[in-house]
Amino acid sequence: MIDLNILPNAQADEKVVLLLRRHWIDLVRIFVFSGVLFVLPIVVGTLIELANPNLILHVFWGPALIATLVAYLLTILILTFTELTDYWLDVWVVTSERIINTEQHGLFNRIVSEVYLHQIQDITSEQKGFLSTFLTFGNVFVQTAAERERFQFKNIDNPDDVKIAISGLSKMCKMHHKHEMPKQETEGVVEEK
Amino acid sequence: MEIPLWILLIPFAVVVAFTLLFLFFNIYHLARYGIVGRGATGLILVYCVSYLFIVILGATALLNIRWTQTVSIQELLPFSGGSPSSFGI
Repeated sequence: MIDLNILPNAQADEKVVLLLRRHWIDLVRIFVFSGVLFVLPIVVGTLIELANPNLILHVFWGPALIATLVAYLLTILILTFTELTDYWLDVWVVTSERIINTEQHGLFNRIVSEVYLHQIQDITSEQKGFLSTFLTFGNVFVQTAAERERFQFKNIDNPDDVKIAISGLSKMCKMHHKHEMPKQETEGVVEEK
Repeated sequence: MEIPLWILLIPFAVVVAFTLLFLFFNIYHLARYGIVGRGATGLILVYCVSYLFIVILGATALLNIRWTQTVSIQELLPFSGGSPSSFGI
């Protein structure tokens, strides 16, 4: 497991400021979808019972129905687990120095990327639609100078607050790095001589 | 032509094997990439308990069936009747 106190390549004074996950509405979506799929056999079973009440007692179809039901329930359970794992492993960690973006797409596709706060050029927060506005969740896009796609915090809680927090941290980092830059350049010149 | 009932257990076993494999992958991902804390550990526990619950429930239902019994092709028709129940009823 990943320990937030021991981040990879962490600087001495680096601290975790924000730990962000997708909004709980995504969890609700997963549970509602799974719930419908779990209830489906009850509906199908009732229809079968109405059509042929003795089918469950049939020498072949009875066991076949039970085996299918168990296999179906296990499959739905695993699909729910996979969605939950996907949700749980989508994490954005904002430290005093950088943003670490970890995205899990299914079970066999994982993306981990990071951006230093002093490289940030533009931050945009976005809330689209009724539900998003009502429950205050949305996306935050972080753009750096590098020619890479925008960093995206997907469906996070309070995107405006996160944007303000990252913006503040970025400003602090830029000021900190401005003070450091000339010093490093001078050191480099001395070494060359 | 007679078909043994246990033949139903073959596709069932394949599905169970797949779900077990995916359960393992889910647990592995949480254990490997999850953030230290109660969340990931709790989720692993929930996965194991709920999977075991359905497996035990399913096994209880499936163990009551006489899998050694055979059935003729004609008996496969649901409305044919005349065949003894596999549940011993």
